Amino acid sequence: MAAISLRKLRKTFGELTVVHDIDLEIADKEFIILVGPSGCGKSTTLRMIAGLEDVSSGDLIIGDLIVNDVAAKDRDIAMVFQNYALYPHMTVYKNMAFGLELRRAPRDEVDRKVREAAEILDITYLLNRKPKALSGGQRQRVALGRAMVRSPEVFLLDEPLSNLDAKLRATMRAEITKLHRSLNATFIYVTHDQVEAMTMADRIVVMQDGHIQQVAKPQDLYDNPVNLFVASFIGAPQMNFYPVTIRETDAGFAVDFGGTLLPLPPRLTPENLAPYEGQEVTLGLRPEAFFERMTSEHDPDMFAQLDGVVDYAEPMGPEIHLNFAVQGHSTTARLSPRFAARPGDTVTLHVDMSMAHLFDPKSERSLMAGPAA
Amino acid sequence: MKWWLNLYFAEGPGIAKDLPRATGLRLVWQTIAREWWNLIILNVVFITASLPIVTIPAAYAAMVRVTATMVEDEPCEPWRDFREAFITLLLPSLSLSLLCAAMVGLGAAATRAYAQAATESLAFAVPLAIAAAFLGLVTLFTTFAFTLLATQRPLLPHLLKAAAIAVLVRPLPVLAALGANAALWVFHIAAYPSTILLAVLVNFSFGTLLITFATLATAQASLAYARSRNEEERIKTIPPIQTGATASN
Ligand SMILES: Nc1ncnc2c1ncn2[C@@H]1O[C@H](COP(=O)(O)OP(=O)(O)OP(=O)(O)O)[C@@H](O)[C@H]1O
Ligand SMILES: [Mg+2]
Repeated sequence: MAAISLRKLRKTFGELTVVHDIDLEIADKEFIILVGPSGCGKSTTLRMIAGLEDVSSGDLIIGDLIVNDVAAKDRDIAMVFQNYALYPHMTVYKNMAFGLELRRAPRDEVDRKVREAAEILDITYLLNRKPKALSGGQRQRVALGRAMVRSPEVFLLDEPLSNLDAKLRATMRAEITKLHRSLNATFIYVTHDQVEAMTMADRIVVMQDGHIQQVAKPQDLYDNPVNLFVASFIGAPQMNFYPVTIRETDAGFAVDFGGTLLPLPPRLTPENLAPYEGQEVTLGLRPEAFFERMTSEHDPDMFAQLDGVVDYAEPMGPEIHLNFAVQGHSTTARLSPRFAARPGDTVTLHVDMSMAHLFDPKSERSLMAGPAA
Repeated sequence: MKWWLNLYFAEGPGIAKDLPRATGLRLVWQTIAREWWNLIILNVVFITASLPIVTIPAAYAAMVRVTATMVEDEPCEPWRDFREAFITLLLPSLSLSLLCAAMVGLGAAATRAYAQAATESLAFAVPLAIAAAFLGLVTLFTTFAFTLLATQRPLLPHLLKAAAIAVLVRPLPVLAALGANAALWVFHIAAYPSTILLAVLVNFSFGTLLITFATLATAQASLAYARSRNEEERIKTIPPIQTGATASN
């Protein structure tokens, strides 16, 4: 059993608090991914779990033991670092075997585990090589293998793929997901890369400035961000934001965007909206909420038209990212590559308001999330 | 500060997975480049283990075992692997060495006797040639027998049979390796004492590595052949015959 609880976990370096009393429950065998901008405390949190940093206050519980004062080596945790940290003077085999040998594991067992791990990671042919000649991807596998041979209950991975090229990253993503399934261990994984987070995680933890902003399943996080930060952090290209005013009309609530009335979806209930009647809020629309034309699948009641002046278009292959200004607000839309527009053109796009998000501009919270606790 | 860290930690070009294994002298060279440090350790360990004299056969066999790991490009730890092999091979290698020493001694004595006789009468040239050939063959036989003992631990009849087969099938690489060993020692003696470090650090282990290169594959194939019972298996295990004079697996 390796469920992990962070209870009011805090880390300070001198005067500086980098992790602020965070609470997080991680289930046994879960794949949790921590994301957030640089410096938000992801690595520090991971290092506290690993036992490489002292906990300043709060409790860290693994299984049903408070491990605040348990040494790193006694935590049954393996950590894979961003820079691999392989011993340069040892062969791959030795790098992988070393930790076990230190624990005086019997030699047959060490050998079996190393070869098993090497087989799974497809690095058997590298066992007698030194790290020097290995490529980033190969080193990464060795680092993973070194963690694997210890068969820990918990794997901590700090941006393990950040040094790899795009192709290798895609392969390794799949491999790590497979590894998680076959190892039956709890994975806590830090990354900058949204694709990694969305594709691999059971749940994603979004952090900012040492606070947890939201914990949710990937799709939930994307569909229902609880605040402006999460909304803008998750999703590429970013969500577009506009200042709008809430109005009550005969047909229910709507938002007024510079004179254009835009309908609102039923998931934004009158209870959510009534307190904001007549006030300015922030409208969020993801790039895929824009369409060149409406089709029979679309609900006409939820659609509105917006005019914009094209700034530039980025062809991505299967789609283009059209950058244009709507009433002076820069906007990115995801459109079919056949959409032809030149800089300076005025275009009219259809917006699916059923995908709309509204945020309180002061608290930055989603109106759907209710008032701050 | 940064550059030497980079020397160690910068990413390398990567190693292709399906790179064909080098062969012949190239493989020898690659192995030495990779294992030079282990070879030095091995040499010192060998010298130390040989000091009681009667342990020389076991020390040699253990050294063959370690160099075989190197030749096969498997992870090797000279000190640990040597110790293990040394202990398990202590008695078997001593017995084998007595047997081989008897044969080599017989060959050497006969060769010497006929050589002296031949200086007086040319009629002894033919027996001299036979005795010298016998001496050569038993030397090769000994080399193969030790490689077999060190790497395979076969039953005695299989070992003797396989070593005999190996001598007949591929003697040339071993001759070359023995020649290289001889050259190494001649050089050491000729340039003594400036080459004393050479002997202390590499001569034995490096020489043994060459011998292992020359004997390992043939010895293994011959053993498989010697062990096989029926005709069909034999055909499958026929050792490869190669005529090149250099060691190549
Ligand atoms: N030993 C330390 N002493 C002082 N401050 C530190 C120490 N370690 C980290 N910090 C600070 O704590 C903050 C959080 O660092 P941390 O490494 O956890 O961020 P991160 O989220 O992992 O960032 P990145 O994505 O860049 O890796 C940073 O502002 C960093 O400067
Ligand atoms: Mg970090």
